[in-house]
Amino acid sequence: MDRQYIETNHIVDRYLLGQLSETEAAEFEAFYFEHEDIFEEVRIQKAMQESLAQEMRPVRTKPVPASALQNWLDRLMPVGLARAAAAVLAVAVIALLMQNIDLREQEDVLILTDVASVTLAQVRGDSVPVVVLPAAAISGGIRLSTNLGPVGYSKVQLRLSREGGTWSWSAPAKIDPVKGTIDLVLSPGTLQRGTYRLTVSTAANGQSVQLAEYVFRISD
Amino acid sequence: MISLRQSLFSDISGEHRAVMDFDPNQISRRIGAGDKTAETALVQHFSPRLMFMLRQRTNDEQLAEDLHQDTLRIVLERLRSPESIAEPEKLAGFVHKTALNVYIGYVRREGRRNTHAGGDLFDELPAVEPSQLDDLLREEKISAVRTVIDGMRVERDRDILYRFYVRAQEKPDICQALGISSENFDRVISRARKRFREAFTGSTKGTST
Repeated sequence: MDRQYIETNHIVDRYLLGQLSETEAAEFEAFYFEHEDIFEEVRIQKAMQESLAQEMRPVRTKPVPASALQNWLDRLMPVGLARAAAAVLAVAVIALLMQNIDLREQEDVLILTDVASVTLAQVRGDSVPVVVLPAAAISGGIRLSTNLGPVGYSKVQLRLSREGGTWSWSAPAKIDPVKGTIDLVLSPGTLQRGTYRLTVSTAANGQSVQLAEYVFRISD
Repeated sequence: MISLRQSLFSDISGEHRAVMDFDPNQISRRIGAGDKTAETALVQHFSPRLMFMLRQRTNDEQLAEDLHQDTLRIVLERLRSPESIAEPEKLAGFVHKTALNVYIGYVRREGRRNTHAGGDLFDELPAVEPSQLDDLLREEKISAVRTVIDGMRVERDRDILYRFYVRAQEKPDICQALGISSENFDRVISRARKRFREAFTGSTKGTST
């Protein structure tokens, strides 16, 4: 690895974005350990990437962590019992719901009828397409489908948040690395009226990297 | 009063000076002879690189700090020992390799632990709580990056930045999606870097308020 190779192949950027192979990353690290000017470039680029990522996101929210399932159970049971049940059930139910399981297989876990199915379109660039769903149409729950195309990852992190920072939820999920499809099934009452943002991220070199973002709105 | 941007840049400049004085052969020999000031010089020289590398790999400040300490301890013990290292001129490579081994050892231990516990990589990602200083520094960087974005008159150039830095898409994919050449991509990225560098560090040269 030399300066020409680093420049031509955007090694600094790709290192910071976690896009280098382990061998390349180690080789590049060894290089910046020895070359002060390259190390300075890496630090400047890191500052730029962090700032761009923060500044260019379409919408920035400051969500307050909350559990949709917790809220749902709270409405059905006394608070103490709901919390105890949620602690036991949340991980199992959410994990099952998040792992592309066919709806028929979920019937022994959580019976959902009249589930609305919606395929979301990715937000690209500055354009923000918003899928509008009438609240009445999702009274039986909702199945959100996404299709990222080949991603090369088998695990992702999903994050769903309501615009305005009033609600957010996240969980790990499995993804078909070839098709890039994820089906997210949400129980009745999980989503209230408002605009929601769903992001799909993965981890590379210990960093979280966003793969896709979807926006939809629940209306009257 | 020195601004945050200036202090950050001063830090980088200060390190430049340290590098110019850093002679790996001499440092290795002095540490072997029990010279504590040489140990301090070694720590000052390699700490920023070690911390950067380990933060990048772990995304965890505290863990990076722990692994960084382990690395320095191993390096210093080796340099103090009669065997020392075979090629003192390759001290940087030795420090890096030691850090890599320390990190790999940690990952293997954690991997075994996570397998038994049924853990997930994402469970390990820390929630970062920024300090007030972090917030202020971020504002400085945001200001510089706004200069970059505002300087882009062509919407497609902004899209290139967005896809590359925010979406972390690969260059070939971006070129194909936007129908641009590799050279065009390189020009946009190179110009953005240059503008950011100038905006972020340019005003720090020779002035203090």
